[in-house]
Amino acid sequence: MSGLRRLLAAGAGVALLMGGCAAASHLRALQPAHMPASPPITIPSSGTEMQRGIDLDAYTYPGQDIAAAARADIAYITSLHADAVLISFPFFVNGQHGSRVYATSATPAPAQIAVIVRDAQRAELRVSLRPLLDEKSIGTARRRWAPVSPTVWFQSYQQFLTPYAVMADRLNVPVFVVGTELTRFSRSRHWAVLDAELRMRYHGTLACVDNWDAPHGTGNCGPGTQQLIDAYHPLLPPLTSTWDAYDQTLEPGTVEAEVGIAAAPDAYSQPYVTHWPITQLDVAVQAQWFSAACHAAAAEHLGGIYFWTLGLSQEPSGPTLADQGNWADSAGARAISTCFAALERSRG
Amino acid sequence: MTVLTRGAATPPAVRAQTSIWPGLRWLPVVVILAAQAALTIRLIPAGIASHDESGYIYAGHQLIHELWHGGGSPYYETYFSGAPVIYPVLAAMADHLGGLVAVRLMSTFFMLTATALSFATARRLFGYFPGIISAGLFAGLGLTQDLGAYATYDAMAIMIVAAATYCAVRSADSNFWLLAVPAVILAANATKYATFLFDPVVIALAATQAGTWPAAAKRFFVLSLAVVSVLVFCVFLAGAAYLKGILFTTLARPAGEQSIIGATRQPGGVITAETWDWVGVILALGVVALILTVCTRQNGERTAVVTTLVVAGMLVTFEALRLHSDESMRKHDDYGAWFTCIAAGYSVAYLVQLIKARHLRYAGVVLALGGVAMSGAHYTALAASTYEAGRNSEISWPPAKLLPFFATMRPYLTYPGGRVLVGGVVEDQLPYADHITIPWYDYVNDVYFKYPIPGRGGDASGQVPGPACTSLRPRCTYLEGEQAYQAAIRAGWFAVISLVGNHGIVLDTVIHQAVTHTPGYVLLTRAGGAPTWIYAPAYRHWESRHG
Repeated sequence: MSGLRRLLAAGAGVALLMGGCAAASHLRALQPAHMPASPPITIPSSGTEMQRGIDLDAYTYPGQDIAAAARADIAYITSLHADAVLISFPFFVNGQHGSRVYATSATPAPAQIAVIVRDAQRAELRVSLRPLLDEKSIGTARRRWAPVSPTVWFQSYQQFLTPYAVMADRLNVPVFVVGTELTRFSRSRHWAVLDAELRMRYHGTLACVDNWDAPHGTGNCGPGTQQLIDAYHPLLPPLTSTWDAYDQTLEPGTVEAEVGIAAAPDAYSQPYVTHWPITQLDVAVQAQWFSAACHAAAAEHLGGIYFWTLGLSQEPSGPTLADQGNWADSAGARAISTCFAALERSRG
Repeated sequence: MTVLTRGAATPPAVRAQTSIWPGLRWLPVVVILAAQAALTIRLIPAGIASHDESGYIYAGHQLIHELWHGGGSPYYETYFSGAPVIYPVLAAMADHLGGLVAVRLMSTFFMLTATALSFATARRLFGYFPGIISAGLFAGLGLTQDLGAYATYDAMAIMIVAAATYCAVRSADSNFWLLAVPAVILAANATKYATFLFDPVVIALAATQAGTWPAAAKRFFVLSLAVVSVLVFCVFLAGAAYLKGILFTTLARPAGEQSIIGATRQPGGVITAETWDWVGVILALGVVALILTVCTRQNGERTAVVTTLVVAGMLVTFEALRLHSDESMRKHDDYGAWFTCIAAGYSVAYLVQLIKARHLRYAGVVLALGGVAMSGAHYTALAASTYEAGRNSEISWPPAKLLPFFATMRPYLTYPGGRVLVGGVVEDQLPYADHITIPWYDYVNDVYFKYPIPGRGGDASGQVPGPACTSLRPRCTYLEGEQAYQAAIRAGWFAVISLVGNHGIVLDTVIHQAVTHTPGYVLLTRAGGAPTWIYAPAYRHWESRHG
């Protein structure tokens, strides 16, 4: 009997211990690091499906023949073997310490943008739209600026954007960028409200563009927005391998919304500088930069690359000492065309 | 106040001399165990399931599934360093009850038992006070706390080795304890093969309890014969796969070269420095015990016991020096330390015993206990860095790097029937962390893969017999080696392929090249620091069917 009692006592002890441990194992304080939420399944496109894009910076002026300019630009873009265009349109803020958003005569109206979009769609280009805060109106770089009153800014920004979003939805524009290079307040809680309002009127993908040196990750310009990047990372030769290495730091499928450089000898070290104190242009710099960037984007399975930029004009122009970032009809354009043509061929 | 007793042959004296505080004699042990429990449990939330922990728990679940439903197993016995049917199955059961925390709490229980046995064994050999010191030193070791919060074989194996040793030191009491020695040694060896190293130590301690030198020699011989016979018989019953596993992981372990088990060649200086960092105080006190025993010309039995305990503490380091590798040393050093803590307890108690004045001796006891607490504080501070599952561990991948990868992968692993190839050290962490049930034959690593050549009758689990070849020949049913991976990838056999974890072996290069040259595989992410691809047609088909 004594043996049986001992056995029962031991059994009860073990059961108590197991029960205690099982209960303790559910204590929140003992749980290891929390697993983040899983993103939904996405199937990345392969390298051959990469967006081959050109940026169109659509400043306009009173009396401009928008239709003719759009026709000329789209024709030029297709001649480069591009299959996508990212149309940027400017908006303004009332000074560095202002918070009110407004349009000027340089801002194309939604109907004027619609003209360009339709032309692009007829040419079978994939179209994305992007509002771009004019830096002259704030007197500083976009990434350094933040509105004094975010509430006022977001309210007037929403009023400004809504007609464009409605137009984009009507024309089935697949991507609408809600914010560009607004690094200082890209994680503001106001973005979620703005996004929600826009999503009631626009059913495509909302996106957010930020600079290469801004903190990356999800959540800029509100949760659920596609993250694009303006790629002005300083790189040194050999450009093929340094661009490759840089693109490896990006998630596959990332779209480089801007790749540009001035036709200046030292521009590799500061590709974001648009005006250099030079007396002679070096167009080879642009050609080498664009070629390396394009091939690296394909090799690293990026979602797309857009070259900055063409203006809204009937005659796309190449680099000059005044506009060193232009590249149309020059070695830079030929480099883009060669790379895009090769990618087009590989797509079959 | 007497702090030392005559030793093993005098259990009544032990009882008599430890009855100075009859009501409180268990209090120090309870305090030590409580402190050890608190220090150990604080580590449990410090890290996600490590590679080893995930591997054993995942294997346990697979073996339980096999037990109920059949389907074979991937011969865990050929590469696990302990019998897969013991700890992994137990761990999987605990996991079922309370997840990783429950499995780690099970280790806490094992290590607390080992500490209690350290007290009991030292008390049998040298008396109550050496027992308290021994338990205090062992509980205070960072390695002890680490293993108590780590869901691997080690905690259970240390506990069983400790139990075997306790049986050995009680072997003078009755034949029951003597007969228990080989049985408990067998249990320890089966739980973790590396405990073979301590079999001679346990047998030697049992021999020292025989009374005379001829009797001790006879007992050593008989026990050795019994242990070897039982082990050989059990290995014979277990089969060739177990023998292969024992040789591969333990007896014929490769010396320190870059190998698939991650061992790297280490200079002797690094190995001895690591031992010193982790258990140096214990070894130093053990050596003091040995010097005291020899210099004070104690009886031969005590000298033999102390020598055995001190040598046991150095065995792991000697073995590491022979292999030029510190692989697993941070775990195995604690096995040896368990023995040497007993000798250390003896040396501290002996030094206190030298104080003749009664009140000074009390001060000596307080000082000794303070020293134990300081040793504990010193080693406890190290525990966070040596804890293999911890955030600050030098050897584990940081959760900040892995968790986003695991989260990204989770929905892709739910693809029905999808096969996964993971070529890195996180291979078992992935399904365990994501709580995804993938049969072992659909989850492949970059070390071994048997590809059923289409149209030849083989199956994924290899249950259908047929020759396996390293190149495609007419009579081959399966492919192995490089060509297996290449053929499978070209056929779109895997839904997911990831190189996260970076084994850095030749097959990883082969896999990388095959994937990047096979249409259909698209790069999904570089989260985790290495590429992961999915087979896009499979997921497009799945998406189109499920919206």
